[in-house]
Amino acid sequence: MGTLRFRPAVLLCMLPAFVLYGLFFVVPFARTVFNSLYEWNGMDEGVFVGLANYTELARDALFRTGFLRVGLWAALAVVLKVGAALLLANLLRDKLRFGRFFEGAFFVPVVISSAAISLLFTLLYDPDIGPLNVMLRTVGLGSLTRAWLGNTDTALLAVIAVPIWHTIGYFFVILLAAMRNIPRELYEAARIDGAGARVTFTHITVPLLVPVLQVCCVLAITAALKSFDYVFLMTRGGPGTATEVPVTTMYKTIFVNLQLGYGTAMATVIFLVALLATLIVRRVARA
Amino acid sequence: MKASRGIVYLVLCGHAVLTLFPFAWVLSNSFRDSDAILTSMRLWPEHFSTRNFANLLEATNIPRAFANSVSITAVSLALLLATAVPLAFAIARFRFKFAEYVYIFFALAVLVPGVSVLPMTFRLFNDLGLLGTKFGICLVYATEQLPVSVFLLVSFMRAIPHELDEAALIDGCGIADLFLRVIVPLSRNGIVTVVILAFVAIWNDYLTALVLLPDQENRTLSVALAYAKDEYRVDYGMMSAAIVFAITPMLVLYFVLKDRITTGMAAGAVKG
Repeated sequence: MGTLRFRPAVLLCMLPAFVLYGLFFVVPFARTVFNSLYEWNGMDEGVFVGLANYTELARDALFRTGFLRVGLWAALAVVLKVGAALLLANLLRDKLRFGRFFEGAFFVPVVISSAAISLLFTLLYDPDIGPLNVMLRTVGLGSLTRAWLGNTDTALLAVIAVPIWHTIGYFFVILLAAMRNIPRELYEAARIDGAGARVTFTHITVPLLVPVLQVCCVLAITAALKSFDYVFLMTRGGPGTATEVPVTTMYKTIFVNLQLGYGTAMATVIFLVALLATLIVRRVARA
Repeated sequence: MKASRGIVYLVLCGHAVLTLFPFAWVLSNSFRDSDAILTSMRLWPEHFSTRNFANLLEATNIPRAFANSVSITAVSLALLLATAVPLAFAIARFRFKFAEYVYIFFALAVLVPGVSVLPMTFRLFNDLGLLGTKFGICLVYATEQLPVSVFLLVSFMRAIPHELDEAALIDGCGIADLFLRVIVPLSRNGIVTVVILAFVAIWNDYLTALVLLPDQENRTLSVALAYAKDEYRVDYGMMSAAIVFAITPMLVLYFVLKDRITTGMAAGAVKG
């Protein structure tokens, strides 16, 4: 908090932000929660149905399975994305020859839009020209080639791999910055005591990074819950419903099926699950 | 020790190849035609043909979408700064009881996924007559970036010595002078960080633009690119050129502002 005495001009400073935030965040958010209690097609008068949308959602197999898929996505994101970033950052913690090059290279995908990345991977997974299949054919494993995004068995994992690839660099940069803030004396003391690289990593680096790792886990999990672009642009939730996740189901429910009450109930559940996941990760990390 | 260093470089090079290969591949294909791409996989084109790019510039709406992205992002950033900087100034430099609550109030949006509010923002746009306008979306972009921007700005502004405020006021400065001539110049670094973070987020957005800009002539680059996927489904060269066209400006920006972008994004994540 500041030290200057309060005066009316302060209210003037806050006014524009309050108007903007009130109108374009608070109002739509309140309407989302409010409408989830109605059955409404967006045109006629809505009918108040209480929690009926929510009880229906609890029985909605598509929506439930969507959460299972996003759960798998979040788990893989935490293990592979945060895990890989942690290992890579650890390799580059000390200044290394060409270290700056690797640091720069690993972050490159992060600045690109998920839309462009999704299209790029549509090509990379392409059954005819995609390097994945071309390489498999070259090494004589032609029988393993497939339409990675068009096959029910592989589509979900193929989609999940893209955001992981896309944002490893983001977590890498966060963890690298945090690692370099750890006092050097700790590492020197450990070295004098004869601790090897592995012991230093598990006994100094990781314990001191717990708060940052916690932030990374929250970011990775909520990103999985919120991600729309990758799924929508690569598979539209298909083939069939093999890659359907809660946000794409919500989008279709509202903008295609025009079930606004039911769709906003989905939106509210997605919000609550994201909130719950955040709280759980914080609680677990504190224990 | 020698062997382990070898393994370190092997891992680093492996990941660098994994990261950069897709870009090299699509860049190469953007100079080739579909037949060549179907025939063989190459990281270096047989010969450089700029036909795909010429076609892209003349026959598609992608250049127009690029211009839309530029103007929409610029207006959004201006709107963001006009609202976030004065708010941060109020929270960081003044002593009043509800400052804490103001802070928490703006923090709420961080917990709510933008995706779940968007349908009702669409309704709101409809009600306010903003649907179909080009710059209405800037209000939403500025709102989405407001919370994180305010956190970052407040933490920057709190680091400025408080004695400066008193001194400036004793010297006869008004609040407006203090804000514009002392605090804003001294928070320059914070403001630049906020602009970079918001720029990347807004420029790269797809879903908000898909929903709130239904008119074809208002499409942003991300949305136009996604439509190009359906239009050029069979023309691999054109698809590749469209992707290259979309990612090049961001890559150039990244190479110019590398350190600012990486440190800014790392700070934004931990503080937000």
